[in-house]
Amino acid sequence: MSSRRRDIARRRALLADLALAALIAIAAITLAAGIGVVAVGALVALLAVIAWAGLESALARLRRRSAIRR
Amino acid sequence: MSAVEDRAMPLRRRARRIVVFAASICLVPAAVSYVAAMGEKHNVGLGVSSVEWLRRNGGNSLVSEVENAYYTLNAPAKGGPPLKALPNVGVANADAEAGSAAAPYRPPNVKPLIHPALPGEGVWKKAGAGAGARPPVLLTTFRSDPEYPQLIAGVAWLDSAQTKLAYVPGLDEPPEPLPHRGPGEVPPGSRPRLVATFNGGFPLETSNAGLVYRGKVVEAMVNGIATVVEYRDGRVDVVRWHQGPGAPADVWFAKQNLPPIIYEGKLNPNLSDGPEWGETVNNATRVWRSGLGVDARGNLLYAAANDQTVESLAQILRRAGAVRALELDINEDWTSFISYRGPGAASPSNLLPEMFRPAERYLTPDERDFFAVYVREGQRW
Repeated sequence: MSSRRRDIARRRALLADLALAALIAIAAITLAAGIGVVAVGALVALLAVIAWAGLESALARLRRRSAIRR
Repeated sequence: MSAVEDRAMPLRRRARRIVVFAASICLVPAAVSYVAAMGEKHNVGLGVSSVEWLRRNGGNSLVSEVENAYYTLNAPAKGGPPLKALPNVGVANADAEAGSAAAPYRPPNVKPLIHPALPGEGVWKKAGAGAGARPPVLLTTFRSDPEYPQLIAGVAWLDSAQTKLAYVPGLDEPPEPLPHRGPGEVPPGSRPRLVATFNGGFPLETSNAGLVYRGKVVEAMVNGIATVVEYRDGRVDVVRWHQGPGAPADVWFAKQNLPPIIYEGKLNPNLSDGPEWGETVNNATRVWRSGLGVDARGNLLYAAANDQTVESLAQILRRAGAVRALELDINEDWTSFISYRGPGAASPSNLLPEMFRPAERYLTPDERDFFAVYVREGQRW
């Protein structure tokens, strides 16, 4: 596969993700009791994502290390 | 999704990316609102202001839940070593000059609950240094709960014949636009007659109650809710409101807050938690609480103490002589009773030394509404 096609696919995926995120954000802001609750929810979600990503990279590192030892 | 995209980025990573984007979009308007709110004039710390911002923006029940959990975890222990002394309040015993005047009325001292009583426990003292034989404000402290002998309640008695109560809007509370909001502090021109100030009730948004200010309805009044009311002829009372949403012609101000905690001499039988108490810290949670009542002669009684439930607060007020009472603000950040030892708001002093806010609180602009007590025209300070 050419790098150009891969690039176009990546951009499309980014655009789709942005659109979906905007929809989720608009729904959250509209349905929540207030912007304060939205902010708390958003911060909790960000923290959860950071923890998730951190855990995943730590696990990947552990797997790599154990593979090298074998 | 094509195989190309799958290879480019796994689904879980895309899910994470979507969450990060959505959260970031949500945080933009929240940050704008928060920064604007923090940029306003405040006399509380950033943490308290942030919590207040969260409460005002839909997070009231969330904050109450967190507070409940925090206060439950930090509940005071029963018992403990006996206290050896009570904090000094007031300037002299109220009966020190009793012989010099024609026997003005004084409320009976509050009977101590714990024996032996400590020196001065429950004994009324004058709040003002030059108050003479008929002091307009009396103060006392006593240990209010035998199971918690470390807890000290502070009570103030305000002579309604000599004093006039004023409702003072804060900078942010009530949030509705007011034609006469004022500076959010005791107006300098009124300070020569100022004898005391104390905290108001819950913010309107959380109390689900009404407010009448200068004879006009700011927020519709609610029947059945406890109300501090001042009539146009200067009389003050604590009543259970039953006059509908409007402002009766004879009412100058009326501030509502939750159902009465004492009514006609009896504790409200529903002081345990229930929906009528609104979205706030549970009634049974021990926290700084304050309340206002009237005695059988129509004089005001204010009480505050740390680590109180709504029921124990009601018991303090009833022991001090209140026949009708309501709960006012709670939490250390909002509970204040300040007396002034001389005219011109001289030597402000908190009712209890553990009160968190400085004694100068209401001499500078404050977020919350409050009450100011002045000596009436023609009365000696």
